[in-house]
Amino acid sequence: MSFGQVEGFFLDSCILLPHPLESVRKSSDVLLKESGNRCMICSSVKKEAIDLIERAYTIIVSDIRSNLKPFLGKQGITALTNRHGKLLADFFAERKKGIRLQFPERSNVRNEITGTIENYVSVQLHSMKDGFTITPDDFLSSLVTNLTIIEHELKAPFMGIKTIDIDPDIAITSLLILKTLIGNPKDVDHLASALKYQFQTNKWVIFVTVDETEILGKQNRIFEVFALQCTKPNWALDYYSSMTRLKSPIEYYQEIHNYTSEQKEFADKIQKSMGIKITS
Amino acid sequence: MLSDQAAKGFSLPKIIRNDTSFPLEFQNVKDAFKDYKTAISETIEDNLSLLEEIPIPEHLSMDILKEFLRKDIDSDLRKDELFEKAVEIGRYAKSMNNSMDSYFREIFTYHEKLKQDMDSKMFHVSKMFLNSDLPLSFLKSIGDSILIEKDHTDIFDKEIRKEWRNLLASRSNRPKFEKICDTHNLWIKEFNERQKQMERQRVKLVWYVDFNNSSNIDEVFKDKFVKKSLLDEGILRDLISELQKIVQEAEKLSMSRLEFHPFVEKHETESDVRAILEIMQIIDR
Repeated sequence: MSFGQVEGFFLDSCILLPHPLESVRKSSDVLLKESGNRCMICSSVKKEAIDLIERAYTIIVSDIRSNLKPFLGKQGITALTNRHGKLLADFFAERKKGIRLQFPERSNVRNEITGTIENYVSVQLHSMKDGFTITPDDFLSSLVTNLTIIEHELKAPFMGIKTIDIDPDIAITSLLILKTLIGNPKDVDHLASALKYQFQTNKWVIFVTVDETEILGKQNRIFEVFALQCTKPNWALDYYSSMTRLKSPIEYYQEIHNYTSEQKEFADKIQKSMGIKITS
Repeated sequence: MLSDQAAKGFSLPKIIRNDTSFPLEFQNVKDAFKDYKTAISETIEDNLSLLEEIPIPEHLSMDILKEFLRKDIDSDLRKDELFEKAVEIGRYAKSMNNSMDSYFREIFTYHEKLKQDMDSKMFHVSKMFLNSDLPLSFLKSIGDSILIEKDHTDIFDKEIRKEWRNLLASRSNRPKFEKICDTHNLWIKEFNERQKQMERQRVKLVWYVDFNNSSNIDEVFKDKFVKKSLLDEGILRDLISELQKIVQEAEKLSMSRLEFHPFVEKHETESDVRAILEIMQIIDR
């Protein structure tokens, strides 16, 4: 019999990315500052986040080079000031029109992307002081330089944290979908990876996320059936302390009285996929 | 945000400087520290050796190119305050024991300027990319290598601040003092080797792209539209992937010394961050 077997926190990617809500950002930062060395991410979370960051960066930079640069060149502008907003507004309006004609079915996503780039460019243009001039080439190069620096910084937290190489088992992911009705397959994969790691090492892990709709709203059910504790960052350390008082995950599961049919089904899947018997 | 990166007068990462490491020595300085002229001539030769590692276009004569580079690099290095400072700091290392405070302060100041220089290099690489049809991996690989070098500089500063405190506390304890110096020189060696490798590969890539897009020697390192069609796709791909490989190794090295820190708050309101995050959300739906 063993107590105090808590391996640490399995982080969802949202914990490592800047969040628009200050309260969420602060609670994540506190957890990372206080317990960064007890945090880990599974390789699928890392890959997904890095891919997304790189794809977003590629879209913006490619758009600046392929569309905005030739446009400014055609206009023959030699110096940009913060008074050139109207010109850029016309450019983006034209571009959206072109997209609608070219890709009628997919225009929403494309329009949103163009809208985001438009917003970014306009904020940068308006941040220029009155009287300040810059060549279009230098303006665009500055945008791309800053984006490259930010892209590197967005990826940095994923590089500085312990990564667990683990692939979730299909049997467990299918059961998770069935019993929790979580819609996002990536969320299911991350939870299944955490579960697999927990029972492989026979040490508790705590899955930390700010995803209220898909995961936190179902945290009691996920613990009841799968014995995986999910929490938001604010309470992660409290769960950590309380779980040090529990027996190890396998022993905990073995000591459950009167298994529900769902618990039995889960234990059966674990035994089949991982060869670990977690029922008494 | 629209910083004065362009106005700073720095340029593309087009020469290797080999100026990143500063040793901690006690009394027996084994290496003869270079004077300024020797440092310049050695650095020029080091740069010229890169010509043997990349294919040179037939329309540029090797002799003329070598002569051009010799003059250009010499002139760049003589105007390069950072290079001069690096050589000077290297000389202080001889008497580091007696002038420890100024030695470390000089290093910190030097690193601040070095980081600005790296931002400026990023700016010029972005400009080259925007005036080209080169693949994004060209910008990404060079950008990542510069930014990793910046990370290394931060790690270096953080580590030597600790070492400085330890040296001060061990001033009267020679064995302990020497041990701190030895430990420093050992870990810094690994970082330096990796950085030199990265710098060489980056310069090779820039040279290959630039030389093959210059119709004559007068166009070398001048602003121009860079065409992918003038390059051998395979060679370009290999040069980029080799740089990416070195960057990954350098990344691993920095991870081993990186203290975990969440995304820095200074960026929380910046539109660059928001733009990337918003597009991430759109494409993830």
